[in-house]
Amino acid sequence: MAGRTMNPDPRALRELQQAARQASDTQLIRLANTLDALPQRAMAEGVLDAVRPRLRHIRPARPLSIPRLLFLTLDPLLVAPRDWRPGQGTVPRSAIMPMAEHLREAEPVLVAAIEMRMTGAKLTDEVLAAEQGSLLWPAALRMLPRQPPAGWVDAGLQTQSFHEIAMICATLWQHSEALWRLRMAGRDGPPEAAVRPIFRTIAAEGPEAVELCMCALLPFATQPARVVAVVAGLSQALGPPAERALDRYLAGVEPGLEGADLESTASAASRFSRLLVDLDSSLTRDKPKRAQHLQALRMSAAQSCVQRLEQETATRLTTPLAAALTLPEINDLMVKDLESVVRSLRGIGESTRRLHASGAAERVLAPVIAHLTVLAGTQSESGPGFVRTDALRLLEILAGSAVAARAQSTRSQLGMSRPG
Amino acid sequence: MPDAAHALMTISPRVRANWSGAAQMPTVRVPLAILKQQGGRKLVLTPGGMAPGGVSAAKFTLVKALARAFRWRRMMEPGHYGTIAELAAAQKINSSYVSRLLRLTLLAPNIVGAILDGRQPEGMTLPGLMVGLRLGGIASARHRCLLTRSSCNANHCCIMQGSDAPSLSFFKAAVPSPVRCAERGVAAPFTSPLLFATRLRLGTGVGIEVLVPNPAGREGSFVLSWSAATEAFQPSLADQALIEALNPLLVAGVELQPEHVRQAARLAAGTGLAGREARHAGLLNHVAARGLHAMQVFAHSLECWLLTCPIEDDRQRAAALALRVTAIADAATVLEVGCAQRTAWVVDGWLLLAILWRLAPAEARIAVLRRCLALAPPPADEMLQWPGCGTLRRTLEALPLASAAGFVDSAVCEAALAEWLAAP
Repeated sequence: MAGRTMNPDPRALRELQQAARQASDTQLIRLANTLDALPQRAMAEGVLDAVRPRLRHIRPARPLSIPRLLFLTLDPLLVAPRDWRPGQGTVPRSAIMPMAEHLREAEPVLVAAIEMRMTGAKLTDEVLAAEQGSLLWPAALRMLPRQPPAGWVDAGLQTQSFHEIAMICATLWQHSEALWRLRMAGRDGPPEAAVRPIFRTIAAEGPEAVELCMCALLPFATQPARVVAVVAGLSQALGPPAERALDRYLAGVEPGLEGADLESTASAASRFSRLLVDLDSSLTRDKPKRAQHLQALRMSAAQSCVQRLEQETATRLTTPLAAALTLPEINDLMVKDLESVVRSLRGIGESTRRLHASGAAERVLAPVIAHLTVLAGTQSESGPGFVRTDALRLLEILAGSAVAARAQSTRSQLGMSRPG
Repeated sequence: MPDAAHALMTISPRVRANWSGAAQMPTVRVPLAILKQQGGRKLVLTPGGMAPGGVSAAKFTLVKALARAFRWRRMMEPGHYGTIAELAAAQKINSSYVSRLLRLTLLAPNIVGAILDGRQPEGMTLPGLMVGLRLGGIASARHRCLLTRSSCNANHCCIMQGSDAPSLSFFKAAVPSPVRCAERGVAAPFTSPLLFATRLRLGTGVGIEVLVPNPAGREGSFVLSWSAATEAFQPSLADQALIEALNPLLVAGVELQPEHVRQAARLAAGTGLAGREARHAGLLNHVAARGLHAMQVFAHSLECWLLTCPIEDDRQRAAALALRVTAIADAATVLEVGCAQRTAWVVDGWLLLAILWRLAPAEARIAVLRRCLALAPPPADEMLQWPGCGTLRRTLEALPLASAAGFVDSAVCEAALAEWLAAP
């Protein structure tokens, strides 16, 4: 199966890509699992290319295989074969299988042992990936082919492109263990104390290595601007590669808000708005083009958020709430679902405000808040249906405790008792 | 043109007009002397006797200092300057001054807002502010270089009161490490994330006090009256109901015990304001759970987690916390035979933390670990004399500092409350 060409019908591929773009998170995970089970992956890669940024955030539990582990830290550098150009510091996806197969032939015992330990394991098992990667990556570096391996040309790759691709792989495999540690710490920044020593070591190999390693790391950092500042601060020579890596990173930044389910949209919006805060804080002072790019991203994300907020408020809150009010009895699960929706709406609203404080989120949510305030004053204290406490809680989640407290005290002033 | 200048420009009678024959161009000589006004005072006259709308010098100094402090902080945060000394050298300013001014970024947002709006109390000056901050011992993880570790001792508390909140005089005194359990306070299952598992105690003259861990992750807690906490953290309706349920004890002047807080939490949960799940749990009326098994599971989970943790400092924190949890569980096992009340004090707060850890999503674990360490109740001196509790002191090792501000959603806190109330 090593990279053997398969020529999918371009029209069918486009249709599948379009369907993948519109799929919900759950559907996307199912699609990835189905495609992972296919013996031929060329078509699968083409379909998933359209949704890779989303997949990176959703992180579906895809099987941990040798090719995937081998190129785990190179993931952000992988591009679709048709997008690959020489001299851009990227690796075409079609190179994965020939390189992996070469390693399998060069180190059969080791690869078989790793494969056995990874049986049934998923990509989300970061510790196992770190353990087995620490065995596989040095071996891959040791056994790096000097000539294009078997299947290289069959995979549609040119012979003359081999050395460039091999150099990139070698650089990344040399530092994969450290980069994987940083990537796992990415949720915490990654912290400066972890970045500094690792990039000091990488810097010894020259600015190209630093740029490649940064390109591999930045998409997983919650504070990429801080990482860039730390690396650029290590020495004067590292400033330009760090800046180039940042520009490459910024070119690929996407909010990833389309198609995801409500909860995922809320967390994606929150993550993206915080990311922009980090990027804005330090990158745009003397780079007006970056500032413009970020502003465009900000506006587009804010617009997506508002649209989503309008749509979801109507379909996921207003309609079910109206239905709940007509029911003589509602169960805990229904109330919990409503609360969960309201939490997500509040999250999207907060992110919208952070992205662009135009008051659009407030305008969308204001009628719902007003409605809930009325319900908090009119619903009965107890009973099997939607009671006043339920309304107060929804109000508190959506608008904060101060607003809910006002609604509570208004009712108390009217001579009605506290809930419970 | 001002009158004085206009007068000076009056052409003197000695002006002579010389006509050059060739060019027919007149040359006018004006013996004019431009005088620079020396000294004097600007007087702004406002219509109708209104007060001048400008900013006084003192206010402007504060605003300017704040602006500089925040600008410098923004220069330091992304790593453009690694240390205060570097920043000071670049700005050509004394590093001590930079250090002191940077402390202004640690001011509470309401104080910053008051200064910017010109609403700060009379007598608030820049030197006073900087001294106040130093005495207060507050520090942020971002600026841990500002204060040495020794300047904020373990169990060091600063007392804040609501009435003083707008000014820094709320940093009134520091209290030493708690001698008595009542002084340490009882952990409360609040549902607001920033108040969750903070401790309550009866203050002298100010009613119920809340001990909030330093959000910067440094050792020590801030002591706030409930009114100040309400202003600072906007507690949920359920949290307010919990405090309301404790009010009768306050009136009676009874010292808070863990069982009191549990009963109040049950009453508050019964209102349904913390969710239906908590309401059902509140109705169960279980006796306070010691949660020894839950704590053992907590310790084991921490030990497993630290193997996967990518950050060395957090691995240390997880190991230290696991050690403390094990010591608490061991001490509670010894005490169990003797006195239920003492056991309740020893385990107080730990079951909440164990549940929080278990419920926290994987991506929030680092933040929750740091928060748990900040919330971990310190053993009171009297507790260390109890059988089996002597080892607790040894577990209080110093750990690397980290911000404990990042946290979880209120839904997790509500779920933790429900589980805590339902624990058998």
